[in-house]
Amino acid sequence: MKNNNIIFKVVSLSVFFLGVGCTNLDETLYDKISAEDTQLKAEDLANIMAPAYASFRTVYWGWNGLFDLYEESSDLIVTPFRIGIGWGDLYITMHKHTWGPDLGHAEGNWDYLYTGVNECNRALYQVESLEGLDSSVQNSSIQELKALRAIYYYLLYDNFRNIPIVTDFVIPVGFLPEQSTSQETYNFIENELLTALPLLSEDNNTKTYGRVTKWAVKMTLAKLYLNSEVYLGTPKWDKALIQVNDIIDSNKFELTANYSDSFKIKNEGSSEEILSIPYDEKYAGGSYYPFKTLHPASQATFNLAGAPWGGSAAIPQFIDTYDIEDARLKDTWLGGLQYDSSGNPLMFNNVQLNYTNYMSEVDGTEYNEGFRCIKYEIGSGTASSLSNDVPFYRLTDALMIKAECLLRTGDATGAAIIVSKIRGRAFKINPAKATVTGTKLSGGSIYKYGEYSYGLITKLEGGDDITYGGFLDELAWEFVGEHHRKQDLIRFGVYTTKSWFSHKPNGDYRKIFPIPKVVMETNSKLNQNTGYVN
Amino acid sequence: MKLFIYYFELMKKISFSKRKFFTIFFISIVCSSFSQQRIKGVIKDGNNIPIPGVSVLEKGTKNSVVSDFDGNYEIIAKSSQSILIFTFIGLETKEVVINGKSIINVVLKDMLNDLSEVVVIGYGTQKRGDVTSAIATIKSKDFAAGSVRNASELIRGKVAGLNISNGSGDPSATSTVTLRGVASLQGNTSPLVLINGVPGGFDSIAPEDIESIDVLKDASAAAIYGTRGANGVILITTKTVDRDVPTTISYSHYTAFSSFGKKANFLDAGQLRELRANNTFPTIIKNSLSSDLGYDTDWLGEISRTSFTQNHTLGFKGGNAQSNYVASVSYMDQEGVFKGSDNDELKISVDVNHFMFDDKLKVNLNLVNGIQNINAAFSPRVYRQALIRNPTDRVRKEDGTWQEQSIFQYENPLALIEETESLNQNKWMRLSANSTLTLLPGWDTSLNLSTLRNMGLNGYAESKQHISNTRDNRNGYASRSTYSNKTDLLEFTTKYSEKFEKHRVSVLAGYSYQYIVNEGFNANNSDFPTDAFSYNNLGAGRKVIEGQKGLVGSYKNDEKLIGFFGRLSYGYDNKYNILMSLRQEGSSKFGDNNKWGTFPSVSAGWTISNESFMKNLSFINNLKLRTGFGVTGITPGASYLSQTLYNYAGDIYNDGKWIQGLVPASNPNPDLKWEKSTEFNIGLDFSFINNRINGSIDVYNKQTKDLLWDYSVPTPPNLYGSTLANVGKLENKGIEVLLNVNPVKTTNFSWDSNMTFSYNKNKLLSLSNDLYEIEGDYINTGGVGDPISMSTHRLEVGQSVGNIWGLKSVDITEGGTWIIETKDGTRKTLTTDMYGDENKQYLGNGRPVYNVGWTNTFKYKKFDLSVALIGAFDFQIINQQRMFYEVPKAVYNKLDSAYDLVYGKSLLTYDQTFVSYYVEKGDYVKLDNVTLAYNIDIKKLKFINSARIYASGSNLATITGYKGLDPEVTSGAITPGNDDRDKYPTIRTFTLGINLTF
Repeated sequence: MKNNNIIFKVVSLSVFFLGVGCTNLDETLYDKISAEDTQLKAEDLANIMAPAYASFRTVYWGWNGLFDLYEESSDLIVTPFRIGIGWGDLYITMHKHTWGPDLGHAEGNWDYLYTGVNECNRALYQVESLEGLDSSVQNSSIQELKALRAIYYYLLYDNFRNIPIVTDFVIPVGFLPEQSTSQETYNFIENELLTALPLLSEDNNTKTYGRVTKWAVKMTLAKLYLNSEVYLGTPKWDKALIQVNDIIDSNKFELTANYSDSFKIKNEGSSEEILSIPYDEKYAGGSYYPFKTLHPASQATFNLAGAPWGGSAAIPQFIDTYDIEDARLKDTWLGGLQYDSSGNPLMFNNVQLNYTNYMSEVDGTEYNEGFRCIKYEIGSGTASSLSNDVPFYRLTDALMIKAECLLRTGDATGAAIIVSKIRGRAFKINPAKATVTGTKLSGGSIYKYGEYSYGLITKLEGGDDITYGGFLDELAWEFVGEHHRKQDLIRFGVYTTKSWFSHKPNGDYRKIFPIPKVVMETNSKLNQNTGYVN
Repeated sequence: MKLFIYYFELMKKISFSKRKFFTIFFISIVCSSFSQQRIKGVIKDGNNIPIPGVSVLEKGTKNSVVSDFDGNYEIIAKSSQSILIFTFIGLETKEVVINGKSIINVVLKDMLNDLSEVVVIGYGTQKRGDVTSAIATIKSKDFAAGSVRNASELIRGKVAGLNISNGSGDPSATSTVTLRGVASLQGNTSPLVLINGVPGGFDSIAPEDIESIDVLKDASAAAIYGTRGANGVILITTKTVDRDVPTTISYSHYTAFSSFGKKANFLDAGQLRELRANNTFPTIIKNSLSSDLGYDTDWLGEISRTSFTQNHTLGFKGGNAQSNYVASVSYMDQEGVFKGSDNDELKISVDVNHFMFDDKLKVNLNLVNGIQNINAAFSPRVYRQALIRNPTDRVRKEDGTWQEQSIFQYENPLALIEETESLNQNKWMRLSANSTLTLLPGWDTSLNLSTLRNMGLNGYAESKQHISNTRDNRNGYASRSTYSNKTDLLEFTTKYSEKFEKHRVSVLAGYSYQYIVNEGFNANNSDFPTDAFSYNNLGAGRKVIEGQKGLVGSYKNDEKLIGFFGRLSYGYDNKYNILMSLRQEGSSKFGDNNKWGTFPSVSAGWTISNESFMKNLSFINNLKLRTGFGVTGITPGASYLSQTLYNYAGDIYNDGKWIQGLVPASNPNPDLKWEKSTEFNIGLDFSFINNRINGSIDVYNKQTKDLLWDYSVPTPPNLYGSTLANVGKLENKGIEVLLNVNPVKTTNFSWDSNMTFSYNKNKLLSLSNDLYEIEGDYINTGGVGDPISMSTHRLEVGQSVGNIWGLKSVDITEGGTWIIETKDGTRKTLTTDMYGDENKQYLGNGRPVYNVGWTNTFKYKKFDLSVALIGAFDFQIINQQRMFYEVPKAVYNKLDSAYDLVYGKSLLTYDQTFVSYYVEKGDYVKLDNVTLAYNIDIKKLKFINSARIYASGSNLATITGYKGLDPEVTSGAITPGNDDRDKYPTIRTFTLGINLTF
C-alpha cells in the first residue's frame, strides 16, 4: 500500500509537470523594451526625435564619413600609405580618383545618410501618431524633421546625385525604391525646405542649438542654388544671394573675434554658428580627427590619453599657397620641429620629430611627412573622442556665398569687400595683407597644380587658367577641413581637370560617387551612375 | 574445516580487543551459512592474458573480491548454488553458477564491436546488433592517454566524420568539434553534447569520469533531438555502477611538460644587423629595416617558457545491489607556454544509485561541480607585439622601468603580461535527479529533473606601469564582470519493451521542457590612487566620479525549448530491425508564425549474416546493411531576434542637456524559424574472421534549407542594412569508413589497428528567395585586417562553402611587384586599383575534403604501446603570418624569409597584400599521440590491485609542406583555412603518469 502511494505520487507529479509545464513559448524581456508593447507619450517627443539628429554625428565623423568624402578626394588633404604604419588602401584610391563601387566611403556615406533619412521617417511616423501633443508643437516638429531630412537628402544629392527618395516609414514587404531624376530630387529638396521655413524657429539660443532652424534651412537652400549650375546646368546665383542676405541681415549671427574660435572645445554658443552638430567626450563621441592625423609621438605635445594613429596630412602644394602671415596657417596646421607639452624636444628614434612640408609619393611616405590638421582644438587628456562641435554652417560660409554670387554676377568689388573683411581676422599682424582686390579674386589660382613626387612638381600645370581661381584659393584657406573642398573644386571646374601630388584627372564622371556595390546588389531597381562598372 | 584453521590463524595476528569482534563475526558466519564454499581460479582475457582488478561478486550479496595481478581470485561463497558475477570495464560481464565447483577459471571476452554491446541512442539504449543508424561508440579503454586538456581529445581521430581540432596551445582553449561538415552558415555548427542526457560541454566534466562516448552521426539517430540535432549529437556516459561493487579507490596522476611545437623564425638581432649592412636593397626596404638600438633580445623567449602541468584524480566506488556510488575528485594545474596564461581546474563528481521497492524504483542522483581559475594576463596582442618588436631593443631601461617606443600600435610584450593581473573564475554545477519506475517488467517510466548553473567572476587590472598609463594616462585601470547562466530541464519519458517469439518491440514517449536564463553585470574604473587594490576595490578609482559613461553594464535574457517526442523500435529474428521517431518541438526564439517544428525519422537494418543462406560462411561474423532518413534543425543563436525591440541610445543635445534617443534595435521578423536539415544515410557494418577485421562504411547526403543569413536589405527603405532571414540551401555529401584490424594475436603479443577515414564535400545550393536576393549569387566574406583590409573567402551558389577568393599571383617583376593572372589568363602587374573582384578568382578551399585517423596499439607482455596518427588532405591554408611578416616593406620586425627572393627572382617591394603566394597546400599527417605503458607487477603489494605507469607524447611530429606553424587550423564555418597571425601556437607535450587501484 505504501509503495503504491509513492508510485501514485510520482506519476501524478509527472502528469502535473506535463500539464502545467505546458507549451507556452512566450519570451520575457528583461533588458530591452518591446516596440509592440510600448505606448509612446507626449513627453517622449525629444527622445523620439533624438535618433534623427544623432545620425548627423555619424554622418559627419563616422568612419569613412562626410569629412573624408569632401577632403580626401581633394587637393588639400591626403592619407598616404605610411611606411611601417599602414593606412593606404581605400584612401589611396580616394586620392587618385581610382575608386569603384566598392569604395568604403561611398558605402559609408550612403549608409549613414540614409540611416538619417530613415530615422527622420520613423520619427515623423511616431510624431504624427503621438497622442496628447499640442498640435502646433506637433506641426513644427514635423516640419523640423522634414527639413532635417531634406538636409540629409541634399548631402546624398550632392554626392550621389541619382538617388531614391523614400518618405514613408511603413513600407510594403519587398518594396524596392527607384531613383528619381536630378531635377525631381532638386525640386523635392527645395519644396521640403520652402514648406518648412514658416514653421521653424527664428531664434539662435540654447533651445535651438544643434537643431534645424529657419536659418539652417536658408543655408541649405543657398547651397542648393549656389551649385545649381553643377546640378541642373542652370545657375541660380540671385536665388542663393537672397537666402544668405536674409541670414546676414537677420543680425542673429556675427563673426567671432578669431578664426579659431569656432573650433574650440567649448564652441557651443559661438556667435558664428548657424547649424552645429554637437559632440561630447562623455555623451556623444565619434569625433576622432587628431588621432587619425597625428604621429603617435605627438601624444606628448597634447597630453593625449592614447596614442594617435599617424595617417592623414596636408598636400605640400596646398601649404605652399598660404601667405606666411596668414594666421589660419598656424591655426589649421601643425608643422616643423615638435616639442612636448613642457617644451622639450619631442624625440622619436633618437631624432626630434619634424613634420615636413614634403611628401614622397602616395604609395609610400615616411611617418613625419606632411603637415597635420589641428583646426579643432585638442584638449589635454583627450582620449579618442573630442567634445568640439562641428560648425556645419557658419556665418562666414553665408558671407562667402554672398561674395561668390556677387563676384559671379559682376560685382567683383562687392565680393572683395566681404573677402577682405573675413581675411581681416587672419592678418591681424599685418592688416594690409587682409585686403584683396576684385581682380585678384577673378584671376587665376596660385596653387601650383601638377604631378608631384619626392618634393618636386614633375609636370607643372599651374592654376592661372582657373576662372575665379583667386576666390577658390580664399575658400581653401578659410574652409579647409570643413566639408567644402570637393563641392568647391567641382563648381570651379578643377576637380576632374587638374593634377596634384600623386593624383591625375581620371574621368569627369568622378564628380559623382558611384552607388555603393552593396546597395546595387540589394536593390535591383537601381541604375549605376554613369562611368562606373559594377 | 579450512574455515576454522583460517579463523585461528587470523586470531593469532590481531590484538585482543579486536578478537572479540571477530569471534562474534566468525560465529555468525558459521551459523548463518553452513553450505558456504571456497572458490578460486584465474581470470584471463581473450588473448589468454591474466586480468588484474576484475570484480568477482556473489550475486545478490555484498560478498566480493578483486583478482590480483596474475588474475587469481579466491572467494568464499555463501552457498554452493550461488552465481558469481565477473565484471571488468571494457570486457563482457560473465555470470557463472558455482554448482559445487571449487575451481572456476574464467575467460572474459572483449566487448569491442560485440553485437550485445550497449549503444546509447538518446532517451535509452539499444544493443549494437539492433542499431539501424550511424552511431559510433568509443569506450574508455580506447580513449587517448596522456595529458588531455578536454574530454573531446579522448576520441580525436577515432570516429570517422567527427573532426576535433584544437588549433591553439592556450591552456583554457576549447576544441572545435564538427561532424559531417558544416550544416549552417551563421548558426551553431557544433554537435549537441549531452552528459548523461543533460546538455553540457566537453569541458564540464573530468575526462577520467567518462565511461563511454556515443556519437549519433546521421539524422535518423539525431532527429529525436529535433532543433538541436542537425550537427549530430554526442552522448557522454559517465562512470556509474548499478550492482554490488567492491569498495575501491583509484588514484591517477600525470605530470606533463610542454613547449611550442614550432616557432616562427623572426629576425634576431644578428640577422637584423647583417641586413642593415647590406647596401644593395632599394631605399624603401632599407628604410623599413628597424634601427639598431644596440641590444639583443629574444622577445618570444622573454614571454614564453617550458610549461608544467600536473593532474591528480582520486576515484571512489562502492556499495551493494540496492545502494551504490561512484565519486571522483580531479585537480589539474596547467601552465601555458606563454607566461600569464594558466588554467587550474577542480572537478568533483558524485553518482549515487538507489534501488527501492523490489527494484521497482531506481533513483539516480548525479552531481558535478567544477571550479576553474584562468589567468588571462596573456592575450594575443602580447604575442603579436613580441613577434614584431625590434630584436635590438631591450626589455627594461637602466632604471628598471619598461622600455617603450612612440610607435603606432607598438607595446612592450613582457610589460603587458607583467603589469596585468587577470583572473577569470568559472564555477559550474550540474545536478541531475532521475527516477525510474518499473511498474511492470519492460515498462520504465522516468522523470529527470536537472539544473545546470554556470557562474563566473572575472577580475582584470592594469597597473600604473602598464602602457595604459605610461602612454594613455589612465592611471591604473581595473574591471570586474560576473555572469550567471541557468538551465532547468524537465524530461519525462515512458517506454515499454517486449520480446515474444522472434519479435522485439520497444516504444517510447516523452516530454521535454528546457528553460535557460542568462544574466550578467560588469563594471570598470580607472584613475586609481594605488596599484595595491588591483581589481578588488573598484570604488577607489576616480573615473566614475568624473561621470564617465559606459563604466557599468548588465544584461538578462531567457529562452525556452519544449519538445514532445516518441519512438518505435521493432526487430524480427535479429535480422530485420526498424526504428522510427518523431519530435514536435517549439522554441521561444522562433517568430510568431513558426513557433513549432516537426522532426521525423525512420531507419531500417538488415542483418544479412543472420540469414540462413549465410550460415555456411563462417568467416563472416556480422554483416548488416542499414539505411536511414531524418529531419533535424538548428535554432537561431540569440533570443528575441524575431521581435522589434527598442533601446535607449544615441544622445542628443537638447536645450542645454544631453538626452537619450529611443531607437529600434532590429528589423522585425515574425517568420524566423529553425534551419532545417534532411539527411539520408546508407551504411554497412561488417565483421570477419572472429571479429579480427571489423568496421563500418557510411554514405550520406544532408541538405540544409532555410539557412539563416544576415541578408543585406536596401536602405532605403529599410531602417537597418541587414535582416536575419531563413533563406538559403546547403548540401553536404560524404563517405565514412571505420576499420578495426587485429593482425597479430598471440599469448605475449598483440597488435590492434584502428583506422578512420572520412570524405566530405559541400555545395551551396541557394542564397535567395523572392524577398531576399543576392546580386550575382555570391557574398565575399572573411578577411584580413588593416593595412591589408581584404576579404578572403567567397560564398557562391553552386560552389563549396569555404572557398578562398583573391588575387592569383604568378610571378614578380624585376622591381619586386606582383604579377597576377586573371581568370582569363591575362597577366597584369599589380597596382592598388586592381583589387576589384574582376581580377580575383578562386584560390582553393580551407576545409579538408579527407580526414584520416589511424591508431595502432601493441601489447607485449606487460607493456603496451599506442601510436595515433591523424591527417587531413585536399585543402588550402591562408598563411597570414607570412602575408603580414614576410614582406620586406613592413617596418616592424618580420620573418627572416622576408628577404628571400620571391619565386626565386626578386625581393618583394610591394606593400603587404593578399595574393595567392600566401595560400598554401595544407595536407598533413601528424603524429598526434604516442603512449608507452607498463603494468607493474604488484604481486607483493597486497593492498594494491593494479598499477600502471606510462609515458606519453603528443603533437610529436607533422609531415606537411605547409610553411606555417601548424597546418591543423581551427576553422570557422564559412571562412576555414584562415591561419590567424596571432594564433597561440600549438604545443608539444610530454607526459609521465601513473594509475593505481586499491
